Amino acid sequence: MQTAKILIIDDDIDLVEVMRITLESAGFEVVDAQEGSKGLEKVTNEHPDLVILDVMMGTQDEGFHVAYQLRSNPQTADIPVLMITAVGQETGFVFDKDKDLDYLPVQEFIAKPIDPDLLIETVKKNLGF
Amino acid sequence: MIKPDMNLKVSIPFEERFPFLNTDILQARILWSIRLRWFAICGYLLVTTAVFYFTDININYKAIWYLLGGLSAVNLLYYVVQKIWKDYSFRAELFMLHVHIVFDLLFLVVVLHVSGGIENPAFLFFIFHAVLSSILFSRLSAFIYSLFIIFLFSTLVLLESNFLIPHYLLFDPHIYSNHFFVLLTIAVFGITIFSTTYICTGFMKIYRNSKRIIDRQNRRLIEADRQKTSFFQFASHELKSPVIAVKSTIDVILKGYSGAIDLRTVTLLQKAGKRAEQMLDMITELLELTHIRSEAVKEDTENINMHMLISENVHQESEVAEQKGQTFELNLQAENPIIQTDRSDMEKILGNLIGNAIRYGKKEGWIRLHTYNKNNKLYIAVEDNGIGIDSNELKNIFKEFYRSPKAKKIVYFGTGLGLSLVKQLIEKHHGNIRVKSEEGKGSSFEMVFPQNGSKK
Repeated sequence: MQTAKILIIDDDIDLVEVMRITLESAGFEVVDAQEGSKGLEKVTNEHPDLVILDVMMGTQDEGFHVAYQLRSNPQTADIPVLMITAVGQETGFVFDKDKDLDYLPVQEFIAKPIDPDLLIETVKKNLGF
Repeated sequence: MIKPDMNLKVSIPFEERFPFLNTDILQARILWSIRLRWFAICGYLLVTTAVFYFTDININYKAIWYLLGGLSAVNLLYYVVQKIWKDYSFRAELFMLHVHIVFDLLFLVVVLHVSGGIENPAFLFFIFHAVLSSILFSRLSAFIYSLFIIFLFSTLVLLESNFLIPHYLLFDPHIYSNHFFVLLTIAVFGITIFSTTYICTGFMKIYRNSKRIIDRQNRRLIEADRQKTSFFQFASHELKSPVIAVKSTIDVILKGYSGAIDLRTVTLLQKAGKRAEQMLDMITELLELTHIRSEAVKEDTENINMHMLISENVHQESEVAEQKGQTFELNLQAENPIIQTDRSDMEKILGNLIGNAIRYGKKEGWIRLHTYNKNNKLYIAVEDNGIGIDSNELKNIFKEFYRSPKAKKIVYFGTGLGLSLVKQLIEKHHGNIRVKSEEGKGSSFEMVFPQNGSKK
């Protein structure tokens, strides 16, 4: 079985726990960070193969800023990013992958609550497994 | 720095002193007064012409007609000014009305002079000006006007009775120079004008006060509604994260990622998962509902073919309907099914209504979708022959969180927000929804949307 390191950046520790259990059971190695800046640090230190990023952490769009920074750094620009977001965010805009991809190149949006099977499937797909 | 001895007297802002008036109303009033003046001029012209031809009364016709001609010119000027000078301020419009009234009074007193002075009961027309100024202006201005009216009238009749200016005889050569009669008339006229002003301004004071109170209450209500909306938004947001965590955790356990669980636990967890999902639906719909309220129609609307959207939606739902043995009947008759609108809003509306029709429809029943155009509008009806709605409950179905007892029996889980959301979405797009239903026979939800940019 191929393995990979996945970084989860999310401030909801219970949700992180759920994703960790799911991903570890599928054989992935999981590291996590509870806020954007820590997450960026871990990206440079841990060299994850994929990042799972929550949109809303401290602020309504902290996840977006993290994604921008990952993209603007040539060393991290190629790491696939999965963005998790609650359906119908309270910011009001519904994320549309086709439209938003132009200015926010994340690979995929995953809706909360997280369906574990879908999570594994999406992660594998984006890692090319 | 705030000085401690600041003037604490509460003063009402200028425009708030006239709560019934705004620039639009004043504008309309000015145009109305111009129209009225045309009628007055024509009436006076007709009457004096008739008097000229059919009687031998010898008043100053020439002067009357010149005056009426002059007044027509002035009235035309008023009209032109009003039409050209669009951006009136409230003060400017009030000022224009003052100008109108002052000139009308001057004209009336001169016309009265050349058409018989005190002998002509046309002096009663002054009462109109007293009433008008009481309604439009402040109490003080109204009393100044009544004084002005009495001054004009007394000056005229006193000058005539003392032979300082000529008198044009109407009926009786003795009456206009009879000092007792003249004084009596001035007194009665003065009292009449003052009383009129007194009564009218008194009423206006009450009306203005109550209007001010209503306006204030209204502002408070709007603010309270806004606060309710933002509270809902805040609360739903805060409620959402924990429920999402609960639901995600349950799903992971149920799918066996955290280890094996027995069948009994699976059943219980499935129930818990369902309830968490129900709560999440409720929160999501609540968020959408509050969001519509705090949002105007988006600018980036597109032309949507509603027939296509209906077909897509029916296709999506057909599997669920088939399970209940229900059939869809599409009766899409509208020649123009295009409306300029927001796709996702329309999808939500149709999804909700068709979903309801399936849910509360009869087994082996039908669900009919009917469209037609009328008066530049698109009508879309979703009908079913299901449980229907009790006539007592019809008024409640669009209320937030309302679920009829019968609906609860059929589908236990429901948010009670669906129809409320539908209604708000439709109204956001300047549409309307009507429901017809008979218990046990079925329901029909008919919506109407404006087309080709026509609003309402």
